[in-house]
This record gives sequence, structure tokens and C-alpha cells, in this order.
Amino acid sequence: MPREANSPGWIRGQFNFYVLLPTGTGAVEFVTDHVPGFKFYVESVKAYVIVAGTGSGASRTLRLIKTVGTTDTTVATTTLLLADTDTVGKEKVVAVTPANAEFLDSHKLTLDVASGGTQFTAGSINVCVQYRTRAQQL
Amino acid sequence: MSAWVKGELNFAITLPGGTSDAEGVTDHVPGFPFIVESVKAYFTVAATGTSATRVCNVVRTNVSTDATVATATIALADGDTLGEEKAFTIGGATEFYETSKLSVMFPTAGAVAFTAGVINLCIVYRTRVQEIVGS
Repeated sequence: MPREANSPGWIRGQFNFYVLLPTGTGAVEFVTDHVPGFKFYVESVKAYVIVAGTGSGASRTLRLIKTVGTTDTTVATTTLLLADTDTVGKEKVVAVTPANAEFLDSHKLTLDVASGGTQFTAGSINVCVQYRTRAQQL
Repeated sequence: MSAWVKGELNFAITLPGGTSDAEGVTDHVPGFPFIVESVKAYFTVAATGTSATRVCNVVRTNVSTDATVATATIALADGDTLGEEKAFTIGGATEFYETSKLSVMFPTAGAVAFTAGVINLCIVYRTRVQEIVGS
């Protein structure tokens, strides 16, 4: 049962998730209900293109979601466009809502694209979720 | 006694085709002491392959001795949906030192081939605050 220790200062870390941009326009979850199991705050979310995207007019809504009990809250979101993915290595910032950025021990993390938009026909990204946390005591 | 720091190692791993021994990560040295708390895989490319099943082991190597950190038998049904979670069973060799190596191995025993599939492997660990020697 991890708990924050009474220590000064923050420690930063990252979750990195590889995401294959889905074809079609349905909702797709790439990570479902992952429980890191410790308290942290999401500071930034950024996507970096691994394989360039294709698909005329492609546009999908990428979201990082926090689930508390059965309640979902959007922590970060962006509309990922074809132009955002046309170059390998290109960065796309996923806007974080600071008020929703706190995860507690039991909170679940999901990464998805919402239904709708216009499909990609190829492409993949690395999603880098940077967080800050405090030292823990067991 | 100093407090603990939690963190995660993340690896994207393509499920190997065929049934031979395969490694998704070979001898990665994080370079700091830590204790593995959990290992979970999330499918980022759905799995295919009739009745596919592969054992997946997270392995620690100290000098030349391998020990299993965590293991799971990944079956087709575990990965037929994007985002699906597969939890690994944690073994006894969870403590890594500065020189310990981390590998992700797919042994051949009991293997039935996958024809597609990629997992995001999430390894949650705890460590202590470090000091840089000599600085």
C-alpha cells in the first residue's frame, strides 16, 4: 500500500506508450484501465511520430482518461491531424487540464481515441506522459 | 531509511512470429537498484494466429545467471481487443542492482505462433532516492 512520504521536493518520470493509429473512425482504447498504483500528477502529454500518418483529411481525438470508480475524466486531449503526423519525429502536444491531472493509488489510466473524425490509414506514435510524484513509504 | 520512489519502465514489443525462442528486450541495464512490483501488458496491435499462445518472461540476469522476475502465458484471447490488459505473475527475483540486466523472453516451450500483435509492457518498480557518486 504505497503512501507519500513526508519528504521535500518532487520526482519526475514518464510513461511511454506506443500507439498504432487505428483505421476506421470507431472508439479505440490502446491502454485500458492501467493502474500505476501510486500518486502522481500529469504535467505534460506529448506524442512523437514513429511512422508517418496517411489518410486524406485524417483527424482523430486522442485522449488520456482517468477513471475513479466508474467515473471517467479527461486528463489530456488533442485533435490529431494528418499534418501533425506527416514527419517522423514530429511533436504534437496533448493539452492537459491541470485540475484533472492528479492520480491516486487506485485510479485507472486509459489512452484512447474517441469515435468520430476521419480515419488514418497508417501511422504510429509514441505517447510520452510526464508526471511528478513524491517519494513513497510502504 | 529514505523513502521510496515509484516509476515505470515501458517497452513496446512485437509478439514474435513462429515458435522459436525470441527476445523482445535483451540485456537492458537500467543502472540503478529497484524492485519490480507489477508487470502488465496492454495490446496496442490486436493479436492474431489460430490458437496462438506464447509464454512471456521478464528475466533478470546477474552476471550470467537468469532468474524469472515475472511470467505470463499470453493467449490469443488475451489480445484480441486493443487496449486489453494482461497481468503477469510476479516471481521471486524482483530485486535489480546497478549491473543487473533485464530481458523479455519468449521461450519455445508450448508455443503456438502469433501472426500479429504488439504489446505495451508496463513494469512498475520502486526505488530509493539516488546520489551520484563523485558529484
